[in-house]
Amino acid sequence: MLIEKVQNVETIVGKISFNYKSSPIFEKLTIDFFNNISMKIKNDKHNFFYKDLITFGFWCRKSNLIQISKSYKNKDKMLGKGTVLHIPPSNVPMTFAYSFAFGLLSGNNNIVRLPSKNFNQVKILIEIIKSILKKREFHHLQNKICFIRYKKSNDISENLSSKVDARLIWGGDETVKNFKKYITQPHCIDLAFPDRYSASLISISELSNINLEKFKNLVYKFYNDSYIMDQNGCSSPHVVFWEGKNNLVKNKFWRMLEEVVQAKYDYNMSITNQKLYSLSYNAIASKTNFKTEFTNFRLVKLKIKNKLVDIENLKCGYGTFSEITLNKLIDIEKYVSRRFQTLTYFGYNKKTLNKMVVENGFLGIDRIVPIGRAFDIGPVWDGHDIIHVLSKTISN
Amino acid sequence: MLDYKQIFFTNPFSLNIQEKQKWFLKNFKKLTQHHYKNCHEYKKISDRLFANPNKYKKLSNIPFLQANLFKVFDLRSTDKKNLSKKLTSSGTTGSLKSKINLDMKTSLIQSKALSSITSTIFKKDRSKIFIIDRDDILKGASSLSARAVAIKGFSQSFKEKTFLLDKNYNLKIDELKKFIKKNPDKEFVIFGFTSFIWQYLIMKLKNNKGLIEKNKGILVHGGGWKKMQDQKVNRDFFNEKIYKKLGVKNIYNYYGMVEQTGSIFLECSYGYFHTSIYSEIFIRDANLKVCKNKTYGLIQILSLLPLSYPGHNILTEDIGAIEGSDDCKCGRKGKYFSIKGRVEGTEMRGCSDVN
Repeated sequence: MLIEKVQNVETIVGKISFNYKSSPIFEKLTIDFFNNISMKIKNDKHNFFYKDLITFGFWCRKSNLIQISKSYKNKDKMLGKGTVLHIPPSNVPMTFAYSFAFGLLSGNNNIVRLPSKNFNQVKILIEIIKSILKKREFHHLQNKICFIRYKKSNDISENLSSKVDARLIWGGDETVKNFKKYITQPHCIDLAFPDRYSASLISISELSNINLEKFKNLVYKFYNDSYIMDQNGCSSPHVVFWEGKNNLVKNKFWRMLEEVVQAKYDYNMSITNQKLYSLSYNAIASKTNFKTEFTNFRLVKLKIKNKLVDIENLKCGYGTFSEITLNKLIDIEKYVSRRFQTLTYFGYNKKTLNKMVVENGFLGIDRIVPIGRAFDIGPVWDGHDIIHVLSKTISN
Repeated sequence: MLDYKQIFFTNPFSLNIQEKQKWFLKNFKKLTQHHYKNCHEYKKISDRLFANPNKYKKLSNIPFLQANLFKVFDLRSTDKKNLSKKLTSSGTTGSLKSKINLDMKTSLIQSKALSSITSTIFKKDRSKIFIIDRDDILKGASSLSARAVAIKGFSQSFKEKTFLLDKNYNLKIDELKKFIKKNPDKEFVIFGFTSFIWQYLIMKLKNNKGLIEKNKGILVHGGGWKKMQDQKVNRDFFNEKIYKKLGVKNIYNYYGMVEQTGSIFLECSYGYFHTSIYSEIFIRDANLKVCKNKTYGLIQILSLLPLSYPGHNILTEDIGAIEGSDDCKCGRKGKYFSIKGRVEGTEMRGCSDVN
């Protein structure tokens, strides 16, 4: 094992090392380790304030991990590739935790760069991990886990990149482009997560048929998908595709959304300013001609005037939605580009939508989930099975 | 377009709100149409976020630009070949700076307007100005910083100017002392950025009692209180220290932005900032609706002066409230307002960022 001291890098947990041996995927020890994390998060009431931490804790419980492991039929012949470098976004607290979990569950040794901002939920999780690693039964894992922090530096990123077997690069186009410039080992595999956009698909005829309570519930779920992280998350919808033409139903949807937004959205004048800036920016930059419409600036609709719409450049954030009416479902095709990540839906059968994407060879749409589940993260993300990519399978 | 020559002969604080309203709207609409026709970015924002310019019945409905757009886009309303200078905002190091495209005409009317506003506090015969800055600040070629622009503007009509800082920001106070000793009854002006006056002048002076006698100095400063608030220095404390250490009682703060050079908002002795005939102000709430008087919100400032770039109508990141109009005890007519500070910054959230 080669242990390195890299200058100007703060090691928070473990040591930077390469060439340590790897482990089988979904090893019992690893699953137990995450289950310990899960229990610790659940058992401290103070953590309830951090919904994203709670969600992670719930996700990494034993039963869920075993469930996930079941889809890997060749488990017995699969083990980690070696050492994985994780570059999570600096402004989303919990992405690092999932990235790390995918790395460890797939049997790898992990060097995780923590977000530069010192989020409380990150601190809490790190303390939990430290305390569990001290337990005798998990000593073996100490060599497989390293959390580091460093200020933006090409030298450090390049040095680390040159020695690992795989990299998970989150954080959008700029970060990905930057990391792709570095020379890596010839066998090193990269999974990159560039900027994406997402949309919702709603069937008007199905929406007209549900009772008020279900309607409200759907709107609430849509709110959660959209307004978490000011609609700047990759999976937040910023386009609504309506199949069907009943304006009464559409208006009811927006009216109810506005009520939820007014009551729930943590909004202030700084957001007003940022939102006006981003709307203006898009007004200048977008080829699509639109008109804004709002009674409450927390919920802005873009009325699109062109026939051909460049929707990936209409991402304004902070509660801004474009509406597109489809005469028939397949008309969605002309709006799907490679950058289209998640389609959240209401009123459709999942199989129908999967079939549409597969049979028509859409380059975009990597996730199809019901409205309300835009942020459910799993080992298949942006169309990649991360566990598969980070592990090797023995062929016979 | 507005006949600028004429308005420079009017006292800039002489119009009451009713006299001003119709006249200002008429001229501002013309200015807006000029920018709409000649700046395609302004046109796109108008068309897509606001209404058609021919439909503006109210001043508050005219399309405005969020100030940060000047940091990203190179906005201009005239042909490139007509431009003579580029200004940049002072901005904190590392952050993007605003870029302002000036032609000769805009530069000229902006400096005339500034001169007309300051004539309400300076005497006609302007003999001496001391500048709290380094003397090489004006030696930029075609690109000038906001600080340099302010210094140039304020010192333009003075016969003699003296910079009181050397290249390393050391204070050369003897120049000021000598002047006062020689001319105890002469009016003079001290000008500088608020934070510079505090850091390089006031903080550097020991208790100077007796060294600088009571004098006829006027101190003018601007550029914002952000740094001062970090050190818990407020207006009263600032003014008191200046009086104690320099013997200067007439102190004027002003509010202005590099996007609207010239049409500054002067603070009167009662502590309020005043609009002039060149400018107007609205306060907007989180829904971008115009607030009632005495309600805090985002400050939007309008200026009749920018011709070569669309800086005539700007939503700032500052928080303020309109305190009244026409009835300030200082006698100035028009709207007057107070400033609370900058809007609390919220971090950008989301998956995309630069590592």
